[in-house]
Amino acid sequence: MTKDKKERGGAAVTASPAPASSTGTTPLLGKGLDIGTANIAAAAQTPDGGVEVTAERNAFLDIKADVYSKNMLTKLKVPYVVHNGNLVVIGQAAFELANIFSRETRRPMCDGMISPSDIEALPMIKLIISKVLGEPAAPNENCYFSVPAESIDADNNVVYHQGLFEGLLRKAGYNAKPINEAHAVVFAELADSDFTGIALSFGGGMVNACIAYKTIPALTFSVARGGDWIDKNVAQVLGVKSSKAAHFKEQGVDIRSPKTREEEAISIYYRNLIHYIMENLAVRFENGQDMPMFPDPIDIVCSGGTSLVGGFTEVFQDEFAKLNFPIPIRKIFRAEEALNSVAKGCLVAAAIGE
Amino acid sequence: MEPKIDVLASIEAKSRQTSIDDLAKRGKKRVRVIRAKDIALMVEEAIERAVASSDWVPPEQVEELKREAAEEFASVKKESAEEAKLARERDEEIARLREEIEALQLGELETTEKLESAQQSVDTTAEFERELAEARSLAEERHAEIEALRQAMGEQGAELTAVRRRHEELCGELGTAQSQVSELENLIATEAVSPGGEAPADAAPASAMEEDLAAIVGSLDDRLDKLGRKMGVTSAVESDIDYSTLVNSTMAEDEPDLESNMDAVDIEKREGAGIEANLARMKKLRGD
Repeated sequence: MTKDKKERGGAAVTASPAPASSTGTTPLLGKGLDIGTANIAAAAQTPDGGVEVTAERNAFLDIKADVYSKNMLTKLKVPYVVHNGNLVVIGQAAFELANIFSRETRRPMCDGMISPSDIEALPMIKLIISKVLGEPAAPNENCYFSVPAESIDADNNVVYHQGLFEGLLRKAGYNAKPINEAHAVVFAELADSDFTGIALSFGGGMVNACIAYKTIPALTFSVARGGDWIDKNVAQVLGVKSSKAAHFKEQGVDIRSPKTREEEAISIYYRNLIHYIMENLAVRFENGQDMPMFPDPIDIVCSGGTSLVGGFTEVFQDEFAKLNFPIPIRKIFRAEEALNSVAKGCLVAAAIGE
Repeated sequence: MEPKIDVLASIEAKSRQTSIDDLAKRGKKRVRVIRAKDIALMVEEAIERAVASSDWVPPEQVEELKREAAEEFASVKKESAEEAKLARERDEEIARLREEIEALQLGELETTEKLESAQQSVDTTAEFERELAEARSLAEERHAEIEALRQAMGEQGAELTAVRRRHEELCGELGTAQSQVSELENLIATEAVSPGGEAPADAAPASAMEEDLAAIVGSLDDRLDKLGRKMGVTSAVESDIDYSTLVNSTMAEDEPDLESNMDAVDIEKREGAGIEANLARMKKLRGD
């Protein structure tokens, strides 16, 4: 999952210079921002034609503030903020510390939306976004950020969520534009099929779905179940904390052949989640009128951190075979860069403009 | 001969009965026996001889005295027997009365307990009936509330289903319209990139193409207009929602810089494949 990980100093991030084009004259403008429940990732083009994705876990943990702890965190290069007299550890380090001390991290977002119950989390998410996105390369640079679709199984306020991040990014100097999360996956992963097919983004807080025909979304929706839902249920059946369950899940589980009780629980909930999203997709497609008539079978692409578990695609195919899906499907595959897909799709939208 | 004094009774009173086995146990193998009647006769003869030889009573009065003594003894004996009989009867009567009293006392106790128990039952029943009445009243109220809620839910459910159906219809229509727009754009793009303005060999005449295009555009305009009216937006100009006040109220403008080491800490960076192919394909679709 981190084979393409590359570490670099953070100083360049906060004062990121405008990336130059291959000619060295025109900066490559536009950034994509994936605001996920579990991770926040920003994508930008590099002068050599590649894409650089900067990511941080969307979590924090407050610990007692004292000089010793502060010095220790500084030495260990653990990112922290002093807020309301507490030391707040930010990002992946917070997740790791929470596991060590058997605590739960605080999450600025819940079920794909900004958490309304934790106002203190807003400055933290602002810091994380500032860290991964950097400053605009030029005034009013395009920044497309991902927003979830309306949930079919939860009452969530997408308008408030979208408005909050739009305002935040505008304050940071960007021309902020929202784009549906799964639609961004279409832009990133379905170019070979003329941006036609079904894109699923398996995130931490929810799964987003988009059926697109030649870039145009015909159906989008989300379900308020994702990696956190699996963690919560696994934690309940095993009698452990959710962060511990997440730790089990990220330790190389293969859900095709679970070997332990923990892996069995993870496998059960993965199968349930996949079946749930596909069944709802089929029902909504069948019930919707004037859905596009696809002349040829289409592809289904899965992305997002929750799709990274071993055996995901095979289990997805198993569960798909149990359904009488209304559209002929050619291929089911997982995105090559499942963690980057949404950010890259946002970047495509930002680069292409209006 | 009837004895003058009851020597037999005296003998019976002062003697005891024993069994042969008992005597044998005490080592008596042989015993002398004499009838009580013979003893009584011997005693009477001895007394008569003693009285006759004592000169205390004249011989002519001896017989009279013996007769009177015997009569008095018999009378006393009879009275004594009657008194004993009466005493036995009194004792029996007392015992019977005691039994009756005990039976009555026992009956009274049981009756008291039964009374108390009955009273308790009456009290409990009254309490229970009162609680039952309250519970019935509460249940009726709840039932009425539930019925009202069910009715409201039914109405809202029907409304929601209608709204959902409408939403799905509109989404479907929008998807179709968007598809047609895309196709139209592709068609326009294809026309625009035809070299030198020359029509392809198999293409229809320019005027026919223009007519087709105009018809498609007109149809699309109609559909979009219809769709817009259905969605209640028609051709009115939408104004953007200004979220700045919301954001400002959530995060104060003058929020002081937080002490942090974020600038000095590494962050995860991943390299990914480029997006030129995606951009090129999209531009081609858009006809750019």
